[in-house]
Parts: sequence; C-alpha cells; structure tokens
Amino acid sequence: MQLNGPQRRNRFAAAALSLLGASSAATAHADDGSDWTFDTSTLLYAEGAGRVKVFEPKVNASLHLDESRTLAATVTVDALSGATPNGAAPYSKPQTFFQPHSTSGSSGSSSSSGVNSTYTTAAYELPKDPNFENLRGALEIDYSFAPAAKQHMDLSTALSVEDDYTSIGVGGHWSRDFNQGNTTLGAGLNFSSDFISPVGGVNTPLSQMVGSIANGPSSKLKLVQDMVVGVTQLVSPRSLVQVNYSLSHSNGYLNDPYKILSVVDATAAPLYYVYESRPGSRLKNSLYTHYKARAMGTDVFDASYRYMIDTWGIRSHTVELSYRAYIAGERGYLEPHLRGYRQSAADFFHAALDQGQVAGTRFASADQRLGAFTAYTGGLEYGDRHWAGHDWSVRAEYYRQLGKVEGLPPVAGNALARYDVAPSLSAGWLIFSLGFR
Amino acid sequence: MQTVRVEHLADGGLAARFQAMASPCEVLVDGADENELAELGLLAARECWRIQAKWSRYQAGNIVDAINSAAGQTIEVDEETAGLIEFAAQLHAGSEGRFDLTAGLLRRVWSFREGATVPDPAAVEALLPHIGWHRVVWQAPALRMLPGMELDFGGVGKEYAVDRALALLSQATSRPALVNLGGDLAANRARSDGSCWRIGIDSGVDRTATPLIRLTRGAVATSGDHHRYITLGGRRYGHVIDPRTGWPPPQAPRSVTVAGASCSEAGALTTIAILYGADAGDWLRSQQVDFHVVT
Repeated sequence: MQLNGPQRRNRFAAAALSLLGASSAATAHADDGSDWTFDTSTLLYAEGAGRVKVFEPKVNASLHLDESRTLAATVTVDALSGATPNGAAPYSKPQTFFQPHSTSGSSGSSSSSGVNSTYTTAAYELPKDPNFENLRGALEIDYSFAPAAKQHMDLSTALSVEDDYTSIGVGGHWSRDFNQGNTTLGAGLNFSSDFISPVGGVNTPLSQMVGSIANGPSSKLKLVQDMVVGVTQLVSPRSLVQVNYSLSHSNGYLNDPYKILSVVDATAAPLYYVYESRPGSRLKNSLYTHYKARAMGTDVFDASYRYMIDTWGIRSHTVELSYRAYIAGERGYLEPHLRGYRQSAADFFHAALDQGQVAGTRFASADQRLGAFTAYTGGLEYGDRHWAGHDWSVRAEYYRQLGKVEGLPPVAGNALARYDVAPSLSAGWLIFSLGFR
Repeated sequence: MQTVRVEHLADGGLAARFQAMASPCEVLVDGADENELAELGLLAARECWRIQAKWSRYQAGNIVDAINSAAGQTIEVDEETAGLIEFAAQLHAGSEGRFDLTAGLLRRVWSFREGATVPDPAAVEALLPHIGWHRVVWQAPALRMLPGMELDFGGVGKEYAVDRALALLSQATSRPALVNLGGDLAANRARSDGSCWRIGIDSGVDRTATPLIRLTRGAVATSGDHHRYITLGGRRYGHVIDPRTGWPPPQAPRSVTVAGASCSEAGALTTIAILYGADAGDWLRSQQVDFHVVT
C-alpha cells in the first residue's frame, strides 16, 4: 500500500491545519517546510544531416506563499545553430542565394548595394541556409491562487527576446471544481504581441530575391489571441477523462521572413526566387481528449488525441500514448512514450512555382512545416524520485518525419518529381531534469 | 511508567520507545545517535504525556474535569482546548453529526470487555437526550452544556499528540523524523537517503495481511477494532458508536487506514469513515484521500 497524503485538500485537512496552527507557534510539518522549489532542465536537440542543433537550459523557481498561492518565474535560454531549409526546390546544379544581413551593424556604418553576401548549395540537395543561428532568452512569471473555495486561477506574463523577434504576452486560466471535486471546469485566455524585425528588413511578399537587404520596412507586428475551455471528469477513483476545445486566432505578419520559393521553368531549372506570402490571418480550432488511468497499482497510463483544423487548410491528427511504470520499490520509474502525427498541406503550399502561377497567386509558401507530412516520435524516460531528497529524470526521444510530395507546379511537375522535394527528417533529443525540493 | 528507552531495531536503526495514552509509542530520527535520539524521544514523550494529562477524562482537576462537572454553567477554556473543540465542531459539521465530542457518555452502556454483551435498548435510549453537539452552546472560548452532558477528547487527542510531537521534533532537529503513537503516525520528510519510511500497521483484524505503509511524509492513522467488538445473533457490533442512534453503524468496516497531511486530519477521517458503515469506502473516495479499508 502506498499512502502519500491527500492529492487534494479535503475540509478536514484545512480544519486540522487551523487546529495545529492555533495551538502554538509550531505547525506540524506535514509539508517539508521548504517554501521554495527549483526545477531545472536542459534540452539537447539535433536534427539529422547537419541541420538544426539546439541547446536549451531552463530554470524554474517557485515560491509557495501559502496553501494556495504560488509565485513562479521561469528563465529559458535557447541557442540554435545549423542549417535550415530556405524553401527553394532542389536542382541538378548548385544554387546561389543571398544571405540576409543588416544594413547597419553595431558600428553604425551603413551601406547600400555593396553589402550583398551569398551562399551556395550543392546540386540535388534541398537548399539550406547554412548560417542559421539564433539566441533566444525568455522570462515567464506566473502567479496562481484560489480566488474562492474550489477555484483556481493562474495569471501569467511572458517575454521572449531574440535578435529579430520579440514577443510579449499575458494570459489567465481559471478553473473550478464541482461535484465533490470529481469534475473540474476550466477556461483560459491568452494574448501576445510579436514584433518581427528580420535581419536585413522585411521583404515584400512574392517579390523577387535580389540582394541581402530587404525592400520593405524594418519590422512588422503579429497579434495572437488564444482561448481554451475544458472539462476534466473523474470517471472512477483511478481514471479521468479530459476534453479541451481551443481556438487560436493570429493576424498581422505571419510570414517566415527568410523563406523563399523557387520559380522554375518546365525543366525545373530555377529562374529566380520569391519571398513567401501567407494570409494575414489564421484561425485554428482544436479538440483535445485525454484519458489517464492508474494501472497495476501505482503505474500511470496516458492516452490522448488532438484534432486541429485551421483556415489555411491544414488538418492534423495527433495521437500520444505513454505508460509510467514504477520500479525499484517506487523509487524510480520508466516511461515509454509514443506519438504519431499527420497533417495535410496548407492550401497555399507549393514545393515551387512556375511563372504562370506567380502572376496569379496571392499566397504561396514552400515551408515544409506547412506541407503534408507524417511524423512518429518514440522515447523513453527514466526518473528517480528520491535522489538525496530531490528528483531527477532523463528523457531520450527519436523523431522521424516523412514528407509527402505535394504542391508541384503544373508546368514543371514531372521535371521536379526527379528530385527529393520533401525529404524525410530525423531528429533526436535528450532532456535532463533536476528538481530541488 | 514514564520512561523513554532507546532500542535497536532489526534493520539496524534506532527507536525511542515509551508508553502514552495506553499505547506503545516510538520516535524515529534518521541519522541520530543514541544520545541524540534519547533526548529527542524524551521531548516527544513529554509532549504526549502533557497532552494526555491535559485532556484525560480520568484526571481530576484538569480542564475536562472542569467542563464535565460544570452542571450547566458556562466554562471558559484555554486557547489550546478551544482549538481542539473548534476542530471537533468542524468534524461534527462535516460528518452530518456522526463525529461528536459528547458521545463518550455511551461508554456507560457499551462495554467491549471480554464477555460483554449488547446493552438494553432502553438504557441506550435514556442517554440520547444528553448526547449531541447541537445541544452545546459553543462560542470560543466559552462553552456551556446541559447538565449531565460530558465531553470526551479521546477521539482526537492521540492524533493531535502525534502532530504536536512531530512539530517539536521538527523545531529541535533538522533530521527527518517520524512519530508513531500506537499506529497513528506522521513523518516530516523522507529519510535522508530519499527513501520512504516503512511501517507495519496492525489493523487489529485477525488473519488479515498486515499492510506495510510506505510513507514519504505526512501522516497515517488507523482505526481498527482490535478485538473490541461484540457478536450477537450473528451480528457484529464494533466499538465506534454513532451518537445519533447510540448504536454502532451497521456493516461498519473492521479497520480503516487513511493518509493525510496531518495525523489529526487522517485520524478524523478514519473515525468518521467507520461511522459511515457500509459507505465508508465511498465516503473516503469523495474526500480525495488515500485509504485502506478492511471489512
């Protein structure tokens, strides 16, 4: 029998606390008496074929003010480097692209046409910008409290800063327990404003790539509003079901400022490259269902499914399964994890454009994240809950993305079919976590 | 027999043992040597003995004696007693009247000694007008009862002593500690090497596997009948009596073990659960606690 204290405070717990608090200065240390908890984690991520690598340390500090109030701050640093596909289609000869860079460096010197720099990619390969580097710092502050009995409120504010991207956001999530705590209803709102100031400036969508310096303004704005409503129902003492519906609306500048498309002739030879163009608004609807149950004593089984549909024509299905098995007298656990994902392409996804299409199209992107693909993730986590009073875990995951060729231009469809326009992608990552109680 | 002995356990550890509230008690302090444990054990034992003396119904001149001999007069109680009464009042409200400090009077007709038998229903009936928290006027710190009524802190005192003793140990040492008063116990944190405390609990029920408790921190309390029951005409009468009827609840579980943040909370939940009879498991489930019921 594993008895580890109540999951949730019942009315007698509160009465007992007031009894023990009132009797003397000392309260019973049913909790371990420390008000601070710290969680740290480090992500190491690497994509195959020399693509993106990420190093992401994260520290969370939570101050537990009392039974219901917690103030938490999370600091994240992301260091990203490697090669990332620029959107152009592969071809049988090397291709040369302009490398975006600033018109004015920190020295304050500025110049116009003489500053173009370029990179060249190998024949037959999917063109990638080899100099992709990014450093991001983020701070999130959360305050959670109980506005009334059986209610829970989280307020958060977030700031994320990169060289070319700044995001600020605020959010709130409220939930309330009903039916003796067997049912929880929740609702949340989140707003963020993103300022995008690409290296070299913003290029006019669908304009031709002619140099390192952009032809448009230096920065753009993107606004995102998210809404979620959900219900969690205890269906037996050992299992629960959760259903969430969420709506996300974004508008403003939704392009990836560095992504281009090849404009090709009938032989798939690139004539020139144009900057991508996405619609100025996007509405995403998603439905999420989650089942969680205890199994074999204290083990935990998790299964979830998410369906997402948006106004860009993308539909996606996500299925996720995990099983946490406690081992070594519940000192540690092993948790295998599987995830399957499939999405359809956005209406305006094109692997490349032909000249006839350029004239007639308003929106086009060759960003593979907007194309059709199927992805599988498999991983394993080992956690130790009682390492010198702290807990740590390590998780290893492997990801395999299988692209589907779609969006070939009518004139060059056969010619482009010779190339691997939707190459598969592998990635692996490790996450180390350590919690101090 | 107010002594504290430090004893060696089978697993190589040490325990400070003493007697309080008619129960064997022990204090475990992870990493403490014999001298340190003897000192800490004495600290915990003195707190238990203080609580026992303060609210024992057998001790003339204490606050319980004053309350029970007030004969309808208003008695003003000290702050600590007021806290305990307030706690009991909340248990009464949260259990639909099942938990009641005034139920002790029923001991006059219910005995669970060897050879005892079921009382005369008329005798039980005669006591009921003197039982019931709703007949008490309680406005802290003032308490007034009808003449003939009695308070009995037996249902909360032992668990309160566990919590208080542990609080004193937590102040006196930074080492992980556990206090066990006759199977009602609490620990302030996991042991130094991060492992759980492992305690066997005697459910008091024969031929039932003794549950081994693995406790990281928090408290566990057990209410078992420890052979204190009467069998008559195939029916079993347990020792926890419903103050609303004067009779044990039908189909009461023989033993209930509950985990809580504090021993006071866990102990209250075990007693109230038994008073819910056959519904004990359902009721505990609705309280969102870990529990173990032997029926």
